[in-house]
Amino acid sequence: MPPRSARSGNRLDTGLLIACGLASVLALLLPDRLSDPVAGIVRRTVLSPLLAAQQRTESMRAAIAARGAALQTGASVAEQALRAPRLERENDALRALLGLAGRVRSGFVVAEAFHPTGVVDDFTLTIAAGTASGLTAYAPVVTADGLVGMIEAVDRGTSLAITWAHPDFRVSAVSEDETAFGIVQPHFGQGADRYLLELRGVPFRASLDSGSLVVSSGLGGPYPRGIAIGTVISELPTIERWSRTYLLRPAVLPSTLSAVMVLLPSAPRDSLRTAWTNVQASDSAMRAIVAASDSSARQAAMAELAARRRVMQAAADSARADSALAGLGPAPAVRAPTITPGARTPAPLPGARVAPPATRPDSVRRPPGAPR
Amino acid sequence: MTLAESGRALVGFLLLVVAHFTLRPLLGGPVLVDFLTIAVLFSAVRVRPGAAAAIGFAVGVSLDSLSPGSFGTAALAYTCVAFLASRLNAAFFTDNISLTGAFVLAGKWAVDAVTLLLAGGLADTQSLMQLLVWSPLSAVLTAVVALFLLAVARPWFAVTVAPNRR
Repeated sequence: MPPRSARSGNRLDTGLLIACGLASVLALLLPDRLSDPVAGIVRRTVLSPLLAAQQRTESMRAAIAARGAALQTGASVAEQALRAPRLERENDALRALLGLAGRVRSGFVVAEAFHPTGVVDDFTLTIAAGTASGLTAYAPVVTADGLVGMIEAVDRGTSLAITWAHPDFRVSAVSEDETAFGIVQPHFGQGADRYLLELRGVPFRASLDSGSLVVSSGLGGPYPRGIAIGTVISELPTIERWSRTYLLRPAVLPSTLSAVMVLLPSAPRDSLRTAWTNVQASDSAMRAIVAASDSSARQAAMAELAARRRVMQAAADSARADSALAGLGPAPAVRAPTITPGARTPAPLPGARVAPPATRPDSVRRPPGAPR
Repeated sequence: MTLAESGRALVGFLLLVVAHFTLRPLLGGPVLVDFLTIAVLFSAVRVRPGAAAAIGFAVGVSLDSLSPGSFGTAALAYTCVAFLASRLNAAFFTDNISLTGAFVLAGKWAVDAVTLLLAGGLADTQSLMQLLVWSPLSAVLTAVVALFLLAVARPWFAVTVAPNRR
């Protein structure tokens, strides 16, 4: 028979195991409204210095990566650096975010997003902004492409967000033409299909074509109306005969995120309603930004275009004069170079009349399924 | 354990916890080292099973606070694994480097397996891939790092067992 001290030690061990096990099971069973405050206290106290250190490390890693890119850029000329695919993508993403900021106008916070480390953290993001920046729980997280997810927990300097791939994610949605309402949720498929979305509960009479844009409806939740969620890929066969289910391609891939925008309750709803769907506004804002940021390149391009116009005009005049002298009637018209929609509009030449385009560049609609 | 040994063990534990949040993000890559599991296992084999369960619970709750929607999973996983580690260590421990490596490997994989099972089961292929491919790879890497730490910083991480626990 073991001595009394050993027996009491064993009883203490068993008691501690049972206590910890019960506490864990209790934590598992707790509803979110009770477990979130506890988790928040742990994050704000014990983990606060560690999370701060992790943020600094992430910044350091980003700085190291940026340092490498800067050295690479310095080794080549500026034009080549600007054409580097990675820089172009980053540039496009930042411009798109700027464009979105211009359309939303106010009531948002732009912050860096990174993925936490853990076994089951594929569907969550850590955002480097918190209550100090005005963030609140359930605030929508978006990019210029569309909806990323929702803030789940907020601390002073950081926030935790779930992405649309999280099993708990739901958003009330509507097609862009407002013919079909439904609920969007993650598609629990296998492999890569796990990273798709489903639009469920669409009335049977409402049919959506492939490529149709689906946006948030603004009903019953934290997501304001108009945030792009995804585009229809196809209809999913279901046993429900009274409603349809569609498979959606998400507008945003969370794995590629670096900077996100968190919408605050004060964000103007009317701006949000058209921020992702109004291509005209999108183009205008984008061209304004491009024009502002690339003013020197724009001036150079316009000067070149004006010179080409002068040469073409001179050739046309010369041909017309030659034809008149030869009595062969008017010379065929020589057209000035045409400008494709979306390109920068050239300045009219002094004294020359430029016919207005048949369609305004801003009114060019993005074809369904085309990348933004 | 003497007071000096306890102090070194505590420093070693804290260093591993800090490394989990600072060194691990720097390393990057698809297969990550789990410094927290090393810290829990190295601590568990030094203390009684009850204390090991408490350490595992504390570390698990800390991890759970970073994962909305799965609060309690890591706590339960680390509690069970730390308790078992302490029990197994009391029964079978030898100061053998390969056994220590296998011990860390099994512990890390067990933590991942329990966490995955509690977080949503193994319903899809992705979870199975995580359990059968990525978790074992991570466990191997974690075990290698644990052995490396034992080799270069033995005073802080060496596993010794009190005579009354053998």
